[in-house]
Amino acid sequence: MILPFTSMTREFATRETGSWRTERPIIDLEICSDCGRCIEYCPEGIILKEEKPVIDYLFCKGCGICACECPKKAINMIME
Amino acid sequence: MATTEIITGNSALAHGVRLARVQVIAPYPITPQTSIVDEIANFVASGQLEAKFINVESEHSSLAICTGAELAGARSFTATSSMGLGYMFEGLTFLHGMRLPVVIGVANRTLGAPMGGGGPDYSDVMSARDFGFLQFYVESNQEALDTILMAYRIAEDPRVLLPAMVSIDGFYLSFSSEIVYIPDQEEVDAFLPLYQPTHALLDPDDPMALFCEPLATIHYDYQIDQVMQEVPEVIREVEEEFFSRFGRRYGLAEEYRCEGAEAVIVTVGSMTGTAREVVDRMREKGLPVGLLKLRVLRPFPTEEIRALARRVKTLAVIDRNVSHGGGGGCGIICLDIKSALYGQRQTPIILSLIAGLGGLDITEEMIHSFLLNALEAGRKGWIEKEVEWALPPLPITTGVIPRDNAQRLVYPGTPSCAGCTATLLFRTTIDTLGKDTCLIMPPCCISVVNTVGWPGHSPVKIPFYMTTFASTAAAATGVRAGLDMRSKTNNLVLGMAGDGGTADIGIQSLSGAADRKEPIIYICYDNEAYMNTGIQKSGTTPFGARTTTTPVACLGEGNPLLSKNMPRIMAAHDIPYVATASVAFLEDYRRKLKKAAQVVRERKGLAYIHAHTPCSTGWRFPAHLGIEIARLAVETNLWPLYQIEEGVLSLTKKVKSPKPVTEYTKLQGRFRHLSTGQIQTLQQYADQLINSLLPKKEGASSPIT
Repeated sequence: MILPFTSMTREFATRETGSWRTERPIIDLEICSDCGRCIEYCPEGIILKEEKPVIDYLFCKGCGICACECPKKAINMIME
Repeated sequence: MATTEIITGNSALAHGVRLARVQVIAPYPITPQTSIVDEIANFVASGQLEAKFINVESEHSSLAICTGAELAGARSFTATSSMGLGYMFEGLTFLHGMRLPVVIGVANRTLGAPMGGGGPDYSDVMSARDFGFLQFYVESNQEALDTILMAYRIAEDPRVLLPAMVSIDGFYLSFSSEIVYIPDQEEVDAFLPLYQPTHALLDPDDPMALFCEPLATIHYDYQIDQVMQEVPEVIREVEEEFFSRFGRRYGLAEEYRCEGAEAVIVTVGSMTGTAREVVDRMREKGLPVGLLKLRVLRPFPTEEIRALARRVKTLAVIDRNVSHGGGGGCGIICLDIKSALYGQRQTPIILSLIAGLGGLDITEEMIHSFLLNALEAGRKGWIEKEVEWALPPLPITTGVIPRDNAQRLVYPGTPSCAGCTATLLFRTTIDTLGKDTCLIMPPCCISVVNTVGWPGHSPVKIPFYMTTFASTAAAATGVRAGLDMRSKTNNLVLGMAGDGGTADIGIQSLSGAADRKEPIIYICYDNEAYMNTGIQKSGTTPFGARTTTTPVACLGEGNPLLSKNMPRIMAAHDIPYVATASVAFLEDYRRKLKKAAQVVRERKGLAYIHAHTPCSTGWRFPAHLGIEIARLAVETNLWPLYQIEEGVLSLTKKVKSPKPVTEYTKLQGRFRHLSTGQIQTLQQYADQLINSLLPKKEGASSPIT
């Protein structure tokens, strides 16, 4: 029998990286025009498209690309 | 002036190379060795070492350069580990025959997948043990520095003239800091004279030819074997001189508290320190145990082992290696010991413990219980089981599944740096190509952090295989062929690699696959240096950029070379589709991916996309600027977006009024030192690049095709 151990796997999962964050992006929904650029450019892909964009803080590493790319400057980085 | 510093094993080794006045250094990055050559690059750039420092494109070339340099009469050095040593293999076999005393530093690490990972063991050096190398294994950082000096002296001794490997345990020594006494250059010069060979020399004043001759093989081998018999005496002699000058000596092997010992543990490398502590504690309790550290494994310290074996009841040998299917099933060092003792009048019981493979800790508890077993075996006079494996329980891994997992092919929460634009490009790639894609990657940032990710599970829900560094396109070719033979023809095979894995070490297999018109998609995500090993120059590193191997110091101004134009090289293969892309223009990238998928599905040949992915860690900019910097690269014409379909070139993003390159460079720490002249060169590069892409006149074909 071949034991697959841990580096040959059919298990698909990940880890929470939210604890890495030093700054938390907060979307000001009043200003947000729903253009979707933050969703497009989030490296982790964790800004979800619901009625307005929603950030999944379980995974957000706080890189700030969303705030930098937002054309309306509707995302603020707040110290955790 | 001699100094005392707290430095890592890699740094100690680098100081050894500096003090040995090595003349040619040709390194290639691989963890956990890379910081050795980073440090040497600094010595050369700051004028502390006068040497040729050559940034090469693979380990294979690295060793070939050292070989050439030695043949031209220069002292040379390279460092590697694990798969890097594997890629050097054919070159390794060329040195002992020509009697070239190249010294290689090896920061030990496991060979092979899926076991390898990054952990240290001796599977790399042990596989090279029969190539006529002198093999030294060191216990401490001080010993690493001292052994480099002695290795050159011994290897270059006219009675020896053989290559040498100096092994330091990866991670355990390579990255741990210890107090190291760094001798004075004059003291070292008096100990280690210049290398002045005459036996194998390419010199126009006295021509010599070196080639292969099967009938002479056995004579060369016999001669080398005779030399190996003499080497222990040379080592002892050199060690005595080293001791008289520097006050330290280590021996081929070292006995520790072996007086009156019944059971002796036999160790190699950094595990020795742990074993010393265990022996001390057991001795305090009155248990008759001792330690034998083997420092030189080629030539094997047969005499030292025989002398000890006559006095003890049991030898307990720890092997951080294994010879699968070998005689008796024991470790390789244990095999050598048994061979050295066979036929001796009084031989002890020999126990073998295979432990620490993949870099797992060899713990005090393991050593303690092994020694207790050894004592008991010695007293009884026999043992039921001579070979044991230390098998600690597998780590229990727990992962999370994102709540929207059904829509995802690539999960978030991977260990890539915050703001990693390559992660974004990777996610976009897989999401666009879809689930019917087989992914092949070599070691690189994305494969190591985003696909392998955390141990125990994969965050990418498509078939994925991490191949060797040089073989992405070849492995993808194989997967395509295999799937075709199983009539699974509707899917895509994607090879994806970084710039080093594409433009440097991977270019041979990529060129081969392009030439064969293999229906695979190949994507190079270009972060313009070897980022996974810690920012070393690659073939696509831009002019002027600071990396750890193109440092900025009194003699260094960053990368002196313009980057290699990979899209143009690929276009010269007449493949059906070549494109550049940028992580700042993802819609453009998606269109190109779909086009690539189309030509591959139509089986027209290989489709190549070269994508720009800024790296905040390596380029030294704040993480939030990644997309902005990628955009500026396009807007300054440093990264024009274009495609070449069936030989027809078209720009996919026309920049009407390009910005000056300083708009791009001023945001990045890697360019902070640029002089006005260097900025001008970079501006000219951008201007010429875009000019080469614009049609010369109406209706004329592109200069690229």
